[in-house]
Amino acid sequence: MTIEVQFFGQLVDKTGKSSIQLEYISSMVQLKEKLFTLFPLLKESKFVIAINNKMAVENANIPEHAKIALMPPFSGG
Amino acid sequence: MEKSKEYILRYQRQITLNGFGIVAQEKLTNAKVLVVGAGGLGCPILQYIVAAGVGEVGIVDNDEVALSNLNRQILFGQEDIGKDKAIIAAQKLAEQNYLVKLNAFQQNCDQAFALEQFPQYDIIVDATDNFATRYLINDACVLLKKPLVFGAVSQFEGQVAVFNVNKEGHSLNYRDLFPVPPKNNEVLSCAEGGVLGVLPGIIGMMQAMEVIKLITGIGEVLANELLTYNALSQEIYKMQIVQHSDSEKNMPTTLDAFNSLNYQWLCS
Repeated sequence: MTIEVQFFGQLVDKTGKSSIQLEYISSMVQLKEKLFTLFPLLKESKFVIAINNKMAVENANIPEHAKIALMPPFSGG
Repeated sequence: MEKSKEYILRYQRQITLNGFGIVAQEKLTNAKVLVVGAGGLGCPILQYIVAAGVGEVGIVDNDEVALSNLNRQILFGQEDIGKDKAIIAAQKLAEQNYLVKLNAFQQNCDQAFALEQFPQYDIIVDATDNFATRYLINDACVLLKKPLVFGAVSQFEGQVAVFNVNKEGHSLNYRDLFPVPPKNNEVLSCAEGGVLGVLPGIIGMMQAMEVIKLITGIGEVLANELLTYNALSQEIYKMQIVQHSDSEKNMPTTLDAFNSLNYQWLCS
């Protein structure tokens, strides 16, 4: 069982990937820890996390086969 | 009021649309929209809302036209380099549609400007290029209860959202996404990261569409949602925004608190 994590904006530059597949993780806290281990540069980045196209709260549960997105703020215009 | 033959002819193609008609056209004529920033996003927004016949349009920008603007800021040409953006934009737009009342403000959008001018308009459009002004506009719109059409770009991607519009009992704003501004060096600007003109063109037109939808009531407004568009893959990702527990904590709750915030410092 896996989950998909998609990166947007400058986060793609920081991870070197636009998306990855991870072994299933049930909690957001553990997911963040995993992502920070894989991509240390994410620690200094601002982003909001969405689970299945909905913004997720800090301690949300991640459903099986979830699609996760990490969305940073954009400033250009 | 009886509309002139010229009015009907000018807007005939949109009046003809199913679900639009003269009723929606008159709503546009009676609407006032303020666009903050006449750059890569602001130019297409202005051109399309003026062409569509929004009755009164304000333009605020403190910059002068530069050569490096011309790849994306399509209201300006070679002969405009060094001239005031808001003034030139208003002149070009007046040629496009003389029925629209245009107000040019060649100045920064600071707290005093926001508090004086935002109440004069029905909708505020964020077409700026920096977080200091984006948070200032967001907070002013929350305090003054003004609908805000947000747009921003980063390299080949862009974001669009509509804030302060009640949908299913919730009225959300930019601080529900990002309660605290990032520091300036955390996020690339167009000057640092680069930008292809087409991208702010597309995002600006999406903002113009949201403005028209908000005014006329057609379609489904992008309230409480963040749309992200990728120009390289032509893919659109939409996420539902929910209220952030830190949003209100970081928001100035009174006009005095708003006035005393130093937005430049918050974002530097």
